[in-house]
Amino acid sequence: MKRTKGTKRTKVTADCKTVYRHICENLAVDPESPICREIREHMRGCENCRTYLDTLQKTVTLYRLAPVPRLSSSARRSLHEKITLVARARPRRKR
Amino acid sequence: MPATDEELIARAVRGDERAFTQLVRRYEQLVFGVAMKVCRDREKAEEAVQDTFINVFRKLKQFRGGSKFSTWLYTIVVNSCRMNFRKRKIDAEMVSLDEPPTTDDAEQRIVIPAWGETPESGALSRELRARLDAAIEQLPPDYRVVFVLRDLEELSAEETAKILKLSIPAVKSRLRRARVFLRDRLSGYLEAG
Repeated sequence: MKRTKGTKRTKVTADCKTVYRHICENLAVDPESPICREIREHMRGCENCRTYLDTLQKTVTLYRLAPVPRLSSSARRSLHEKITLVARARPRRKR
Repeated sequence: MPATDEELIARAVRGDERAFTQLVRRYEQLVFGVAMKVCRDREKAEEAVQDTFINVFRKLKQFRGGSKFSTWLYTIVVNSCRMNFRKRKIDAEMVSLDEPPTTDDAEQRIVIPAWGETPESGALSRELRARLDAAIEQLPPDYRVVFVLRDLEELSAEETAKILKLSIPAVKSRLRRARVFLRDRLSGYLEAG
């Protein structure tokens, strides 16, 4: 298998699979829960799992850093015009 | 002090157009942001914003206040984006996110390459932004919408499940697959060298 520079290889076990599944679903889970303590214990000795968690967290961080485009003033104007049209077309309630 | 959502909704339901306009101004950027993240296309996102607020205007009387107004907006804008995907038959063109085989042999071949440092806020290069866009565009919409609501909008699993009419385990499973998919797509670019 091709080896990436700077990457230490570790055999991935079934335990690691369980860790992957859990940490991936619960990146923000209570760190004091029993499962988290167990996972921390496992991760201390497993470089692959530490890398797995780190790369997932970085993935989310990068997408959060990406700027969100703003609604343009022409689109905003068009939106408000459309709403006005719909509002005016609505039958008025009789008093 | 600015009027609360509840006050504006009550006035809009009684026919006060200015109150409704205020509500739209308060939430138009939030709705557009979600639509852009899900639709990945400005024109489609603008259409989704219009559809969302017209639906809100027509159905405002039905809003009971049992959940937050913003949650109701998320539900409507996400449905509008999903309708758009159906029209464009996007799902059929997407890659499958089915679980890979999990034999012992397959597990032993999994290797997690480490990444280098990620940039600080505001420092995403144009190339990295293009990579992020390309990766999320390849993510099937049903998974993308879960990633957007949970990880970008930071809604809870419960709120996301309610908005998408999914079970909480289904939300967690889709989120896990979405994160791994995106991580794998970015890995070649971000691996520590």
